[in-house]
Amino acid sequence: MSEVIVITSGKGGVGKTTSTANIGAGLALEGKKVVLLDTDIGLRNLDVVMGLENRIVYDLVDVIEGTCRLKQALIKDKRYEGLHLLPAAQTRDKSAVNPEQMIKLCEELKQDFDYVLVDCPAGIEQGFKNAIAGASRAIVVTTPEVSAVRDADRIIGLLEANEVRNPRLLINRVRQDMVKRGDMMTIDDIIDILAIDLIGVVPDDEKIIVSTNRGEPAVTDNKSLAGEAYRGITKRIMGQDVPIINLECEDGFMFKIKKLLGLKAN
Amino acid sequence: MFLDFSKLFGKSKSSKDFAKERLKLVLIHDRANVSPQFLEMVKGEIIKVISNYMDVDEDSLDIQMTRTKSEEGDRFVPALVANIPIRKVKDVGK
Amino acid sequence: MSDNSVIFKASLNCLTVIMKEESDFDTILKQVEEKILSGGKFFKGASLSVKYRGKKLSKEEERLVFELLKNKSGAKINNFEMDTEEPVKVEREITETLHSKIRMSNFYFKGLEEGVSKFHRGTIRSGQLVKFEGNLVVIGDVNPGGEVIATGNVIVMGSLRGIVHAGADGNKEAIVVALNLHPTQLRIADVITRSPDQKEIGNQFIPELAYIKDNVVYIDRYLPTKGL
Repeated sequence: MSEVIVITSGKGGVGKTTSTANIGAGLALEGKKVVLLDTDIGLRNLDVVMGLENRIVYDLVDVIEGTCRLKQALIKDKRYEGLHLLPAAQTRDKSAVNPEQMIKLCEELKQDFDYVLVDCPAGIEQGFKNAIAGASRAIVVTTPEVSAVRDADRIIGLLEANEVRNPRLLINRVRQDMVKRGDMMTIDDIIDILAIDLIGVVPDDEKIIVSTNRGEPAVTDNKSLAGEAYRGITKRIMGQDVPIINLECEDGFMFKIKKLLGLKAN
Repeated sequence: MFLDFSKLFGKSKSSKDFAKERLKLVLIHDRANVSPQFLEMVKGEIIKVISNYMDVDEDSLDIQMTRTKSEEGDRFVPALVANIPIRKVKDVGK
Repeated sequence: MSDNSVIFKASLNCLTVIMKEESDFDTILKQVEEKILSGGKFFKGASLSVKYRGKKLSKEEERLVFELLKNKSGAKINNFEMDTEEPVKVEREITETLHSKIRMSNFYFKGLEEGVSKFHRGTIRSGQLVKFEGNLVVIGDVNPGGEVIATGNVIVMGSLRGIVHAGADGNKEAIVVALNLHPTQLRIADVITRSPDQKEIGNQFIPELAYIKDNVVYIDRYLPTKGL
């Protein structure tokens, strides 16, 4: 049974594209056939995050307008077997596509892939409507900031209004040190407010920036905390019951350091 | 270390609590789609009705949307909370 | 060109002139002349059989068009007659199976030496597309995500880091020259290349020239002395 999952957030810059790339690579590592669909027409970025920007000849709009066949536009990832990218057009705008066309495209992609991950643009206009049109599941990405959580709430409402049931929440860029100080909302605070199920928590991790610089998803990095979090999310998407990453382990690490430094950790 | 001291001496709310409170409030408005103007209208109407029966202190009247536990206690529901100081009850209703 | 009473269609060694039935002969004659002149030296030296379609012409009218073609185009016109064959849709099918982005046709832009050219001043940024039927000169940079497409040569007086397509409708003689040639992707006619995955990020500004030979893109350091 193949599925179309939209990754969305409302607010920009919370990590939709990075999450799409990492979850996609994670699913491919698990042996799934995955296609990443960038719907951010005019501001595409998934291609650079994946390091595939120089392979693009055809894009989403070309497929929809019939300029090329679907197979011609799909870019095979250079590292992971089974991972493909359908890039957005860069020199067009969101009005080049409508929701009906997206539904048709998603149906076509479902024939060949286990998972279709749709990277949604920021905002709630045409691009958002296109992105969610063909989706049956949704992952809402947020960060522990008032602005991001507020937008996530709006998005959850819109998803429900558009019959995308049971969206799951991904909380990105959590800084455990700030949470401990009481300067960042906790996971429970956010869930209390948004009242939806959690799919995972990704700690703020410098390695994400490093891996984006290189165009390689962090999910494969065994030393990266964020990578570990994305591996857990991948498994949960596949329906496996794995515990949410324990951010306290970072505490454990801090504890050890404090002990090493001879400081009393409370 | 900083956190230890602030916990011991400062009883003040941490910034994340402010964030949470403010968010809750904003979201109630967002979800119910009520604007401050709307609240002003409600306030005006309430004063109009109540002042038929009692003399209220209009300046210190406070009305807002908040959330309260539902009767089953399993989730929060929006609630309209009004704090209306009464100066004097009028005789008309008696 | 506001009133298209006349359309020129070419296949190998054969030119078909399609004339609108409702247009009067004088307009047609005038437009045929305009078309030939706008083609410049395009027809010069060619040897063509010309057929016409659409409007029926009298013998006298046929002769007038024939003379006009002969005198103005500079081509050797073998004959000029009515095209009685049913319109063949071959050309259409070709453009449809071969998709429009990499469209190859026998009737591609041939003005690499003296054809029309466009000068674009300013930086072409991500999301911008500059397209021209002819040669294109960019006085500025082409940033990553920007696209320049021309049916002729492309010259960039600056850094070329976006996508470039020269000879876009099939001219394999087309070249790309840039003061700093680091395109995301480089296409000439139907040949597509991309820069190697291990990018050597050098800051040196070396003018380079890209061309195709045997369907492979070559990139040479541009040396004026070589006389390329």
